[in-house]
Amino acid sequence: MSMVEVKGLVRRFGSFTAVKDISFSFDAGQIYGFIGPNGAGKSTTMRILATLDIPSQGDCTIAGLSTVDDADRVRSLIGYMPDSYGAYPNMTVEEYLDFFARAYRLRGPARTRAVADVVEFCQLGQLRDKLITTLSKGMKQRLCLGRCLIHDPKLLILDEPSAGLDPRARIEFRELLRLLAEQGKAIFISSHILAELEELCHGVAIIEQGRLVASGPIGEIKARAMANRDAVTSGVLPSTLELRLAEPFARLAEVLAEQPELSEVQVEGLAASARFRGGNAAQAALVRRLVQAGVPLYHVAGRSENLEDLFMHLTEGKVQ
Amino acid sequence: MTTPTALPEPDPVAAPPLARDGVLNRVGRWSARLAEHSNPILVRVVRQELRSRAFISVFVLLLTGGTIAALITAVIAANDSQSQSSNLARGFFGTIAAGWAFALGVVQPMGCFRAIATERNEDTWDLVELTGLRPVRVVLGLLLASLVQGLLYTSALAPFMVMAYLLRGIDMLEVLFVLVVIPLGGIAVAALAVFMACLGGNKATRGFLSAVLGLGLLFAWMGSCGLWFNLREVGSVLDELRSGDAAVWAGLAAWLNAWAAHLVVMLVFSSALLAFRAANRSTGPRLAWCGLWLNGLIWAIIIPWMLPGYASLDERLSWALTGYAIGGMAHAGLLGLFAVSEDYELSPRQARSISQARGWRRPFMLLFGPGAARGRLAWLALAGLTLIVAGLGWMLSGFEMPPDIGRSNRFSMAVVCWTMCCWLGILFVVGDLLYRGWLASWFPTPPLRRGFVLLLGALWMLLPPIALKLAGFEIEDNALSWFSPWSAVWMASEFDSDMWRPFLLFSLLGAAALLVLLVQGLRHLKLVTHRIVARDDDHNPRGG
Repeated sequence: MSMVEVKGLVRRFGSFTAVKDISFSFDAGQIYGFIGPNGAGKSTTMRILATLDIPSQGDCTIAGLSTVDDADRVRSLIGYMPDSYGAYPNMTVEEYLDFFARAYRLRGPARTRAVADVVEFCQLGQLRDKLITTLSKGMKQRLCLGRCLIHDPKLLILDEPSAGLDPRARIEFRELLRLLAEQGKAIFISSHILAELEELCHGVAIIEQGRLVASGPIGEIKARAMANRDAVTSGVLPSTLELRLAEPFARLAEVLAEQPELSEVQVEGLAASARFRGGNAAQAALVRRLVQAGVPLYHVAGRSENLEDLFMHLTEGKVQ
Repeated sequence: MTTPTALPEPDPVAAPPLARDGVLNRVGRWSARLAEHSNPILVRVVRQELRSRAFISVFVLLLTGGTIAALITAVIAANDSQSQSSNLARGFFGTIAAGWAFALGVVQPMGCFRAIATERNEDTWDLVELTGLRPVRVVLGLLLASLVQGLLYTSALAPFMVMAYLLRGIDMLEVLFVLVVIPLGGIAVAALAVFMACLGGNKATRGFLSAVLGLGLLFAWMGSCGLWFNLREVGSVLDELRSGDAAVWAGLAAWLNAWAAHLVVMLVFSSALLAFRAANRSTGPRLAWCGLWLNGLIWAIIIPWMLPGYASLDERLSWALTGYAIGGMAHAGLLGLFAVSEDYELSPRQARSISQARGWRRPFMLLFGPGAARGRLAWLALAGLTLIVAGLGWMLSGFEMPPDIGRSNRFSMAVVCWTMCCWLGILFVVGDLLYRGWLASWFPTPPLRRGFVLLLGALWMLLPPIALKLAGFEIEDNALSWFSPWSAVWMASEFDSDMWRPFLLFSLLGAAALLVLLVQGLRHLKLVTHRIVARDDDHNPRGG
C-alpha cells in the first residue's frame, strides 16, 4: 500500500471541472512533485488531499485512510502549507508554534520539546521572540514549515513553498526537505521552478487543464516521452540540435542547410546548432546522412532532457 | 598542566520548595496547570489582541474618557455648591456605564466577528481545522477571549465607577444591576456575533452580516444609553427585588435562564456550522433544541408554583401547560423542519457516530443520531411529548368539553396544539414527497429542502383562505378552513361543537401523515452509507 493514493479524482465547481479524473500514488520517504500551469488544478487537488475539500468523484487515501471518510485521523498524519503562508498578525514566532502545538493537543514538556525541536530544525532560534509580520519571506516560509512539522506528520503537502524566495532561501529550504525525506516523511510539493523539482523529487505528476498528463519517476516519464516522441509529436515540436566537429569542415553550413529537418542553422567554428523538427528515427537518419557527407561529427546532442523540456513537451500551455 | 575537575551538579531549575507548600505555591501550580490546559484559541486570541492596535486604542480611549469625565465631575462638584451630588453622581456613573457598554456591547462583539471572519477569509482557518481542534472549542475559545478582553476594559473603568459610587447618590443595587447587565449582555451579543460570523458561507455574505451586526449593535447601544442615565427607572424593580417579591425574582431567574440558553444555542449552532460536512452535525443542535423545549416545560411547571394567583394550583398549572404546549409545538416544528429534510443516507463518519455508540448513548442516538430517519423519530417524539403536555393541561382542567368552553378555552388550546401537530405532519409528508420525488433535482440539499417546505407552508397558509374569501365564503364558518394551516389554527382556537365533523376528518388526515412519517422513519433506520461528495454549487476558493 502506498503512502498516498489518488484514485480517479474529479472536482467540479458548477459547470467548471477543476480536476478531471486524476490518479497517482507515491510512498513514504519520497518527494513527489506536482507540476502544472496556473489554474491547472494543483491547489484544488492538494486541498482535497489535505482534507480541506471534498471530491466530486474518486478518493484519496493517506496510509490507507480516506481523506473524506477518515478526515479526523488523516489530519493527524499530514502537515499542510498553503500557497499563502497562513501566519497570524501580532504573534511572535514562538507563540505561533506554541499555538499550533497546543491545538495539536501537545501538553507540558512534550509541547515545549516539540517547539524547541522545530525551532532548531528550521533554524529559527534567533527569531523566537520576533513578531511574524517582521520576518522576511524566507523566514516566514521556514516558520510555516515548522508549523507543519510541529506534530511530526507522516506526509507534508506543500503548495508552491518556494514562490517568491531568493536563491539562498530556496536552496536552504530544499535541504530541509531532503532531510525530512531521509527521516521517512513523504512530501508532496508543487512548484513552478521545475529545475528545483527535478533535483529534489523522486517522482512527479504533471497536470494540465485538470487532467493528468504524466506521472511517475522522472526517469520513467522521460523515457516514455522520448519513446513516444515519434508516435505522438513527430514533426510538431521543434527542438535545438547541437553538433560538435572533430576538425574544421568548410562546407558545413551548406550541408546543414540542405537537410529538410533543420532550420535556423548557425555555425561557429567547430560547433553548429540548428532547429530540428522530427522524431528519434528522423534524428538517426540525419546523423547518418551527415556522416556520409563527410562531416567529422564527434558529438550530437538532441533535445535536452531536463524537466522543463519534458514539461513543455507534455503540456500545451492551455489554461482552463 | 591542570587536570580537569568534574563540574558541580547544576541546581535543578526553579524547583519548588516541597517542604513549605504555601498557598502561593499551590496557586502558582494551579494556575500553571490551568494555563497548560487552556483553550488554544483563547491563549492565541488574547496574546494577539493585547498587542492589537484596536484593543490598545479602545483601552486608552476608555481610560482617557473616564479621566476627563472624572475631572469635569470634580470641577463641577468643587465650583457649584448648588449642584446636587446625587445628580452629579448619576450623570458621571451613566457616562462611565455608557462607555463600558460600548466597549463590551459593540467593540468586543465586533472583534469576535472579525476574528472568525478574518480567519475564514484567509487560509488560517484551514490550518486551525487541520489541527483537529473541535469547532465547539474554537467558538468557546473566542468567547472566553472576549470575556478576558471585557475584564481588561472593565479594569480601565472600575476606578471611575467606584468614584461615582463614593460621590453618593447611587444605590448599591443599581451599581450591581449595571455590573451584571453589561457584562452578561456583552457576552450574549458576542455569542450572537460569533454565530453570525459562522453563518456567512462566503466573504460577501460575511461582509453584509458584519454591516448588519455593526449597525444593529450601534443602535442597540444608543437605545441602552437612556437606561444608564436613568437608572432610577429600574429602581422600583430593584426595590421589589430587595423586598423579596417572588414574581420579580422569577423574572430575574427567567432572564438569567434565557441568557444561558442563548449562549448554549449559539455555541452549539456555531459549532455545527463550522463542522466538516461529512461529520455528524445533527446531534448537537437536536439535543440543544430538545433541551430548550425541556427548559421551557420546567418553567411552565415552576411558574404556577412560584406565583400564587386567584385560582387553584391545578388551574394555574393547567393554563401554563396548555399555553406552553402551543409554543412547544411551534418549537418542535422547527426541529422537524431541519431534521426531516436531512438525507436518509449517511456519510461513513456519521454512520460511525451511531454504530459506535455504546451503553446509554445507543438508545439516545435513535432520536439524536444524524439522518432523516432518526430526524423523523426525533420530531415525532418531541411533538408527541408536546401533545402529552397539552393533554395533561386539559386533564388538570377537568377534561372540559365544548359545551363548557365558554367558561374557559383550555380544550381549544389543546385542539390548537393537535391541529398544529397535524399540519406540521401534513406539510412534512407532502414536502418530502415533492422534494425527494418530482422536484428532487431542484432541491438536492437539506437547506434547499427547508426553504421549499417553508415556501410550501406559506403558500398553503395564504392561498386557500384567500380563495375562500374571493369566492365569497366566510373563513370562520367554513369546514374547508380546516384544510389550510393558518385558518385551521384559527378555527381550533374558537372551537365549538359544530366543528366536530370536519375536525375529525382533518384529524384523521393529520394522524395518517404522522403515521407515514413514523413508518418512513422506522423503514430507513438501518444504516445506509454513501460517500459525501462535493456539491456542484460549491464555492471555488481558487475561482476568485
